[in-house]
Amino acid sequence: MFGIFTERLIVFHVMIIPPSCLGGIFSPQLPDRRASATIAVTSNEIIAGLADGSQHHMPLDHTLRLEVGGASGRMVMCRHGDVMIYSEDPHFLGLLQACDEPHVRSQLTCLEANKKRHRRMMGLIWTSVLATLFVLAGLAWWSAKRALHLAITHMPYTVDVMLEKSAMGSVNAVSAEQYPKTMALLNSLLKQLKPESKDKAIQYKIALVDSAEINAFALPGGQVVVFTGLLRDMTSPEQLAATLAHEVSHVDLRHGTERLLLSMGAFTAARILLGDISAGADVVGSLVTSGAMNNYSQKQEDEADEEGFKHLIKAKIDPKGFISLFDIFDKAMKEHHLDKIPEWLGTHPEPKSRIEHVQSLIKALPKDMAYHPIDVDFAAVKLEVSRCRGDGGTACQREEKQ
Amino acid sequence: MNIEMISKPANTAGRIRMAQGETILTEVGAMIAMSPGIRVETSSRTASGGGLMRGLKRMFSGENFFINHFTADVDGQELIIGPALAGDMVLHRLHTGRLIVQGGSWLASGPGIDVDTTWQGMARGLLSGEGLFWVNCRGTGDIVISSFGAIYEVDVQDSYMVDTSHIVAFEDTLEFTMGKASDSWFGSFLGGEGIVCKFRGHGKLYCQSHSPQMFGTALGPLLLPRQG
Repeated sequence: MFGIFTERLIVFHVMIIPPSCLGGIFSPQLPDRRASATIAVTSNEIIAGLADGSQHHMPLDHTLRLEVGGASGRMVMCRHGDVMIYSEDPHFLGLLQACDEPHVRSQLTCLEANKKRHRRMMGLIWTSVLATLFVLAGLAWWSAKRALHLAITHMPYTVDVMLEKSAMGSVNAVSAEQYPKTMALLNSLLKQLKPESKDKAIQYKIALVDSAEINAFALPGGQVVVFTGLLRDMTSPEQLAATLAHEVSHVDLRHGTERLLLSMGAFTAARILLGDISAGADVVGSLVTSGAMNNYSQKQEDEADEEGFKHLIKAKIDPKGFISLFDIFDKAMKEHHLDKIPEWLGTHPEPKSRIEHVQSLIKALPKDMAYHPIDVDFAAVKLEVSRCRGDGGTACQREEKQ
Repeated sequence: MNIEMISKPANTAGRIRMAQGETILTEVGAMIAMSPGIRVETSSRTASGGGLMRGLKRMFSGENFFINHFTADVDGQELIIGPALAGDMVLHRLHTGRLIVQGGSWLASGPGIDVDTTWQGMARGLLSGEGLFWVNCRGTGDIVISSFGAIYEVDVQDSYMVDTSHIVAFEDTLEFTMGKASDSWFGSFLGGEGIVCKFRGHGKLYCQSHSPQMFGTALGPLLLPRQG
C-alpha cells in the first residue's frame, strides 16, 4: 500500500515541473555575482536553478521589470531589486506568458510591440540601404555609359581606322579575282546605298570570306566583311542589300568602337580614347573582330536595323529584303537549335521580333512608295559562291586551275 | 595555471605559471619571455576548432589570423606576455555567457575559451571608435585583456556612459547605443564629448583611461618631418 502511494507521489511530482530554458542570474548573494542557470516559470514566480542544486525565486509581481537587450539585442532580462534573471532562449518570452500578474502581462505586450516596431524599423533601414545602393549602382552605370558615349562622339575617326587595320590582320579575305561576279555585285550595292560617312577618314569597302558560316560584320573604319555561307542561303539581291545596309549602319553609329571600349579595362580604354592605339595592341585586333562578329548588343542590332532601313529607303531598294533575310536567320537558328535560347540571353534579337520591327517600319511608309529593282544575275552570283565549300577559297582555286 | 599581472598599471605584463600539460592561447607576438619547457604551436584554431574561416573572421576584428598555443611539457613553467602598446592588462574569469572584447584588446585565454568575431551593428561599429567587428569570447576559463593606459572595471547595474574609443570589453548582458553626452547636441559638441556609448543592462564593463586614436591625434602634429 505504501509503495503504491509513493509511486503515485513521484508521478505527480514529475507532472508539475514547469517548462524551462537555459539562462543565467545576477545576484549579490552569489560568490561570483553571476552564474548560469536553468530557468523555469510558474504562474507566480521565476525559478533559477543553479548547477550546485540551489534555487533562486523571483516573484512575478508589480515590482518586476522586463527588458530586452544585451550584446545580442535578443536577451530577455527580468529585474527584481538587485537580482536579474536573464535568458537568450527564444522560448523564455513564451514561458513568461504563463504569468497571471497584470503588470507583467502589460510589460510583455509592450515588449512584443517594441520587438515588432524594431523589426519594422530594421526592415525599413535595410530596404532603404539596399534601394540606395541599387540606385547608386544604376547611376554609376548610367554615368559611365554616358561618359563613354560622350568620349566616343569626341574621339577622332582616325582611331576607328587604326582599330580596323589592327583587326583586318586576323580576317582571311579572298581576292576579288576569285569571285568577280560576287564582288561586282557587292561593290555595286554599296555604291547604290551611298553611305555617307561622318568623317573623310571612314572609307566603306567590302571583303569576302570563304566560310560556311552564315554571317557578315563591319569593322570600325568602314570595312564590311561578308561570308560566302550567308550568300549561299540568300534568294534575292535585296537580302544582300539589306545585309550591307545593316552593317554600314554599325560603322555609322560606331558600334564596334563602343563595344571594344566596353570590353577593355578602363585604363586601356582611356588610353585608346586619348588616341594611343598601341595600348593593348596585342588584344585589340582579336577583340574588334570577335566583338564585331558576335558581340553587338541587342540594342545596337536594333539601331543598325533601323538605320539600315533608312539607307534602303534612300537608295529606293525594297526593304522587304530584311524580312526574308531574317527568315533565313530564323531557319538557321532552328537547324542549330539556337531558337531555344531565350532572347535576353542572346546577343542578337530574335529574328521574329526583328521581322515585326521591320514590318512596323514598312507600315509607317507612304503607300505609293516605289522601289528600283536590283538589276543583277543573282543566280550567277549564287553559282559562283556555291562552287566553293567554305574552306577559305582553296577549293575554288583548285577548280579554276582544273 | 596561475595568471598574475606584474608592473601594473602603466606597463603591465602577465606572468603565467603553468603545470605540465596546461595550455594557454595568446595573440601572435604577445610572448615576452618563457621557460624552456614550453612548446609553441601556431594555428588558426581555438577551443571549438575552426580553421581558415574562423581565422579570417578574427582578422576583421583587428586580431591576427593565427593564434599561438603555449603548452608546458613539464611542471613549473613560466610564460611572460605583454601587449604591443604601453598600458594595463586585466584577468577576466568567464564562467557563463560571453565577453565582448574590442578588436585588438584580446591578449590571451585558456583552452576552454572560444575566440570568435561578432558584429555589434553598423552605427555602433562606425561611431564607437572601436571598429565594425568585435572579439567574442565564450566558454569557461581565463581571458587576459589589454588596454592603452589603465583599465578600470565598472559593475553596471542599470546604465552607464563611456566616451568613444574607451571601451575595452563588456559582458553579454550589457548593450550599448550611441547617443549625445549632454541633453543637447550643441552642448555635447561644445563640451568636446560629442557622441558617447550609452550602456544599459546588468554586467561588467572594462574601460581604458586613454584612447589610442586621441593619443595619435595629439602626437602627430608634434612629430618632425622625416629628413631625406
